[in-house]
Amino acid sequence: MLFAHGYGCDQNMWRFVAPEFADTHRIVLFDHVGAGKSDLRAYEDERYSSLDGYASDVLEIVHDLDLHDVVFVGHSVSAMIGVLAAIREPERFAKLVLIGPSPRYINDGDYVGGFGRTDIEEMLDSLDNNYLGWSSAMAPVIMGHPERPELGAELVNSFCATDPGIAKKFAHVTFLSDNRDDLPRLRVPALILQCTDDVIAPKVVGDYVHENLEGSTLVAMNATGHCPNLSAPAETVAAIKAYL
Amino acid sequence: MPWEEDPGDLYEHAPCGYLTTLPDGTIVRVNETFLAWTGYARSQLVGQRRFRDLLSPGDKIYHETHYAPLLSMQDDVHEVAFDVVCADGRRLPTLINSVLGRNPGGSPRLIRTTVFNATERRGYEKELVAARRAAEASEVRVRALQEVVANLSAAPTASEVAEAVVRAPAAAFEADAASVWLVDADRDQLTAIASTDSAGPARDDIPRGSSRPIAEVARRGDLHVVHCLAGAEEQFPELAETMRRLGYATAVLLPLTNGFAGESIGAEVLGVLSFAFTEQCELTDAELSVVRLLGHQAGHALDRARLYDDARRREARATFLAGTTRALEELPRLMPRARRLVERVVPEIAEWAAVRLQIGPAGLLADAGSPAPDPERLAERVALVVANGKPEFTDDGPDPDCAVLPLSVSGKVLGTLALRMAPGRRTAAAEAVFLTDLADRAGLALENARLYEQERAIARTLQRSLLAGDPPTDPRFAVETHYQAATHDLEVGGDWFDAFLITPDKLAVVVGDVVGRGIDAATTMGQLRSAIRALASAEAGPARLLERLDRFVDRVESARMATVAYAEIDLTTSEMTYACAGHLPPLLTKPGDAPTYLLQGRSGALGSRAGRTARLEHRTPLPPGSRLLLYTDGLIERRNRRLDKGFELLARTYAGRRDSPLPGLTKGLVQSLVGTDHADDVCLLCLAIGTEERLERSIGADAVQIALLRKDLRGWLVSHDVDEESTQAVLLACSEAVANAIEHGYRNDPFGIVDVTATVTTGAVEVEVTDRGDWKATGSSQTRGRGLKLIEQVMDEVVFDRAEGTTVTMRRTRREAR
Repeated sequence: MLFAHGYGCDQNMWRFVAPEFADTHRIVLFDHVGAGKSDLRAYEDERYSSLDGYASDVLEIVHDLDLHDVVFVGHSVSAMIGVLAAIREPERFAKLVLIGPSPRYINDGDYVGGFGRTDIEEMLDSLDNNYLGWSSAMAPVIMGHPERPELGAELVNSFCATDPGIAKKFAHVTFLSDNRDDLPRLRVPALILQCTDDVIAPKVVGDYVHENLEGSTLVAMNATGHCPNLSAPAETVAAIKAYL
Repeated sequence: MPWEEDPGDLYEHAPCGYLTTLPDGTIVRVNETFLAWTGYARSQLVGQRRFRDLLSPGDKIYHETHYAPLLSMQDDVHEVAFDVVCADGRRLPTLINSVLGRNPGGSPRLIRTTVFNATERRGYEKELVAARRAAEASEVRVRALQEVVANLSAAPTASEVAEAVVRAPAAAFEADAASVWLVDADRDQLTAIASTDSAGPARDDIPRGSSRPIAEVARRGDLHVVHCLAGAEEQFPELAETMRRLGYATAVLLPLTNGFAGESIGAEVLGVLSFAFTEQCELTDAELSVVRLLGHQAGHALDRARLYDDARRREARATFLAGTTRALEELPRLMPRARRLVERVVPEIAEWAAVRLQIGPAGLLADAGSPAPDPERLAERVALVVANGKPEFTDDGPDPDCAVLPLSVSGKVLGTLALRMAPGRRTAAAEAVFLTDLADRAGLALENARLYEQERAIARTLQRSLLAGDPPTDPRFAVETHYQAATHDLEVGGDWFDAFLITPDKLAVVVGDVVGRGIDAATTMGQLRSAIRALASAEAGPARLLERLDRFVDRVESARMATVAYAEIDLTTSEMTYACAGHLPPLLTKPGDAPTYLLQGRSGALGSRAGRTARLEHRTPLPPGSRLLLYTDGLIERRNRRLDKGFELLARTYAGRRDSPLPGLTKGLVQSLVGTDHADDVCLLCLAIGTEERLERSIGADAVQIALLRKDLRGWLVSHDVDEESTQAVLLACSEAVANAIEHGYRNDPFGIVDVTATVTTGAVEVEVTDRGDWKATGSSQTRGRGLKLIEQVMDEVVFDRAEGTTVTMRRTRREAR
């Protein structure tokens, strides 16, 4: 089982879920480039200017670890990253588990994604406003020692650390992505976990994904919010186990 | 105690907002402070709203992607900045802290959140963020500028500099369009050279004196920023119109100068960069200083490119001039030289060029390229240049960039070189120095060619007149000569031949070669030829003649080292005495023998030290039927062949033609030994001596050969004193028979051979014509029949033998025997 964290966090978000499958599966966790303990030097603007670059990373992991019959569990934007990877090399994937997937966050004609374009702009402001974002960038600068970033490191939150520069670009790529046309091309069975009251991926989006993914299973969860893996790990684990 | 507090009051009126929510965010408790700050009624919130519902949309995403996961993992989150949307829609900047409380089993129970009013702090932070964004933007600008500067320093030409500059505004300032004009001092204009938008603003060139904003900025040398249309109306109404048309709100016009920052005095404007924004924008002072810096950097790069261009152009010009001089020297003749000149000029320098030379009644013209300028106007200007010998450059009028230059040598105008510069190049006036240099060199080269032509014409005329005159006719011998001039248009050579009767029974034949070429060689040859005729006497003999000639040469310096092959033939005794003064040995064929070189009687060239001693001569019999060949070195000498090979080849070729008719023999030898491409003059003389008893000839199946055969046969018949009537009859019959053999026997196969044998007795002449053809053709039997009828009419006996091929034997009784 390959677990891919969503935007805003790192592999820590699987801490209540992944261990539950350790008896039955080989567990693979990773941080996207720019998040957690990933090597920030690996970040390239060009490669990560679309979700395809992130999907290539997933496939690289699959190849390097020689993984077969992969159960890919993707949260939020990683759900779509998993879909893109499985379209490219379906023979490697057994099943996809998509938690709070959205192929398009911005409303577009009849399509309801949940957000307007200005909302996304505001969200980027929000990133700037929060020390979680700017401390790692600004702390050393404010302290007058840009050459010694460790002086600012304490200010950075210990969980879900993200490089603010990359986080901002990842936010752009994530929230401006449009993968609606990719959905019908997926040939791997998928489970969609849809939370109650998820503002990031509302029910209408989950239904859209279900309609457009042939042979997919939609499970409506009691859990609220966008992160059932954290807020309702037991229900999440049970839903995945039931599907597998 | 006075400081004891009512906990309820403490909660409700604490200096911060308090919220208690369920794990899913549903508000279950809220204090007065929060309600007062946000303007909500308690009933609107408790049990009704989740905390995240109170956040702005952007913060909602942040809440879901950052705050909520973090709280789940850490059980607390500190100092998250959120904008709370108040009841009246106003946004309250806050900092919040949250703690997640858990049940004894560890499942989330509730979340406690404190909310601090951070209006002022967040204001300060917003300034920080704005400052950071400005710093980032400035960093982007600096990086963009660094990249542009790197590109500028790597750009060797003005157009490459322009390409680098034109991309800078988009990279550094997010401008929507940019264009670059470069000052062209020669054309007194600003040339549009680069634009980010192919259809974009003003792709046309602007005169420097124009009232247009670009020209204005170039003159003033100052940065002009037009922030809005109203500003444009005020400063440059024309610009306002352009901005309106293209939808630009802000425009910047930047002169590209080679001065230093802050210095505009003495700085030269080399170009103008204009860029524009579709949305109105104010450029900060920092940005403007970056813009000015860009102008200076670009200006310096243009200055450098200009110097580089100049150096490269000068080098190219020098190479071109040297190459042209060399190329012209390769062709000595006038018209080829003139043609080569225009072909070198077009297209490298000009798109059209014409050389006119004032030579001959009509003049000479060589031109290349197009389009030609208006002929009438050009004629006027050509006339003007011819009259005053000064170049004419026009950069305006109907034929701009068209120049007329005199081709002159020491003040004498030989003609003119007119040209129109290639488009996109510098103007003719700007290239005046180079073009004048070109015209001077061309003038000299053409004058030399003209002199060469003149001398060559005189020399040829002289040579022809000196060699003219028929050799003596006598039934006892026949002379055939051939002179072929070198094909490479070199000057005439000093080769000559001569044949004259010293006494009625003594014949002299000469072939000689004077050192050098041209008119001097031709006149010297004439002198030597005359001297030999004057010095030849019945008594002297060849050796004495050469000795006298040596003394003559003492007085005629140009004749020194001339070579001569000289032979005297006594027609009564059939003996020959010959001498060679440094000349190639004559080649003799006696009847029945192989050709032999006559290697006796040799001594040095005329006037040489080796010739100071007594000259040698040699006597040899010359039986009738002998042929003697005298020739000059051009016949056998080749640069890449040893001389003995040449001798061998000549002997072989000569032997192969021993039965060829004498007429055409010398020409035929030259054709097969020298061909048409030869670097030297060739002169030959072939003497056929005595009367052959039997005339035997083999000729190719070629109608041209018939005429030569007739000439040969006639000479032979005459030498046997055959009467004129019989001679005519035999010639006619023989011609018809040979023609029939060629036409019907070989059906014009050029490789066929026709053998002709003639014998004469006191009573009759007999001719045999043999071919090996098949005579199958019957289609033209009528013409063939007519030929036979003619033969039968004029000859007394005609016999056909068709064993192998056909032999016609014809006999004619001589008049004396009739």
